[in-house]
Amino acid sequence: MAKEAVAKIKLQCPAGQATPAPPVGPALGAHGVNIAQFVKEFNDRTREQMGLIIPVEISVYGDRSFDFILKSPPAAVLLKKAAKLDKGAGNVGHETVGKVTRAQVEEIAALKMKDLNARTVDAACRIIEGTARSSGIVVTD
Amino acid sequence: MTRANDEVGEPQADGWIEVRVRVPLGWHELVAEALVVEPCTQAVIEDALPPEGSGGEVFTDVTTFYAAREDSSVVREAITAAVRARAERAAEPALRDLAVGFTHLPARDYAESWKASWRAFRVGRLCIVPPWSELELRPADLPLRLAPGGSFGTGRHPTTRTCLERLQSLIRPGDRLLDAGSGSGVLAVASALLGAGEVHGFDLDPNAETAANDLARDNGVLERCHFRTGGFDSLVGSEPYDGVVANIYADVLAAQATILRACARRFVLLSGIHRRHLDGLRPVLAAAGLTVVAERPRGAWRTLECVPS
Repeated sequence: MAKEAVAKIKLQCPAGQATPAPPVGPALGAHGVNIAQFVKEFNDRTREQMGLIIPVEISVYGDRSFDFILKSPPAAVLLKKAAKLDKGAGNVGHETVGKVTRAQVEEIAALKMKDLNARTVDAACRIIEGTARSSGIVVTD
Repeated sequence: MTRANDEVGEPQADGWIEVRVRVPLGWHELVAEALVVEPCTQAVIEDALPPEGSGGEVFTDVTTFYAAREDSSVVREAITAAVRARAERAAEPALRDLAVGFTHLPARDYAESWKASWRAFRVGRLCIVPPWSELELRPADLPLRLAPGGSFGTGRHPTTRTCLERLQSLIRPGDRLLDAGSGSGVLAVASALLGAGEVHGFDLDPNAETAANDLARDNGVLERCHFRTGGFDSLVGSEPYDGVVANIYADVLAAQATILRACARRFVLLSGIHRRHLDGLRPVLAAAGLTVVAERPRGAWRTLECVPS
């Protein structure tokens, strides 16, 4: 069957724990996507990454069938990995919890550029650096 | 506090609170991560149209929800504070003064809501009926029961509809047919319902075989439908068929034109062809020994009825 996406829906769901509750339900239901099936498939594919928030992009086609791709992990996750941190971002206080080099920032920026809709590497780096600061990670030269 | 996870798809009597934050382009991940804290568990990211007077600047809306019965000024303040603290630590001027909006939404059973947009539809004699349809069938209807909404074709795509329509004229009772790239099996099962004696289908997707067998079983034609996982190479040495239907992409049809020709005695129905690919496909079909006898347009898509020459 020839496939041409008529809608793309971007979600961030907890690995292995997506539910049909809002916001997944209303976002997908509006396009006639079988919500229970998406939830089951997403959870099956991400079960081994439990504890992470996984960005996912769902393509809905002309006949309302759908498929989805898992995107690269959020920048905060990649930064923590680069800084060799286990601590969960989001609960980080004002203290510094780790360090990454500028080269690592550039590497993450290149990987995330498309997902961040950034037009230039500089714009992507600025977002990655801001994300680092917000996670208590210092960027060093 | 109860997480939304514990209430898998259950209707919330009090409805939901939608939390919406409009963020500058590129910063959606940071805000989404800040938003996905108790009691919110998931976020949606939507690219928004530039607001009037914004000078065309593009924004992204990040939304999440929690059950209205969890709502309180404390919860709202905690969510707002989490977002603002994240934004402040980023030390990014574009993230200053992010507005966090809260809207009450009425209760709804979202796990079932998607079904509302799926209704039965007719293509000639065939009536594609979802299991929950309450449509009263007419005596002349030939029902094809299909649970839609999955990863496979649902019969609604223009190319599939045209195939369903044309098969009603092309199939003769007892025909032995091939469905190349059978996917959900909708064309093969429709062919069996229309009187084909034996239908073979294949698809590269390993999940297709199960889906197609389920569809054939649901429609009582499993004994006449034979699906397998594989590609065109699995046709080598097979007996020619009375007719072949292939609803795939134009480039695959072009690459496999010779094999399609060799498989067919009476007709080859080619679909999945976008009109922009038509001119490139025609000479390839002619060279392979397929004569186009009719071109069926539906929107931007074309279906070609061919006979082996």
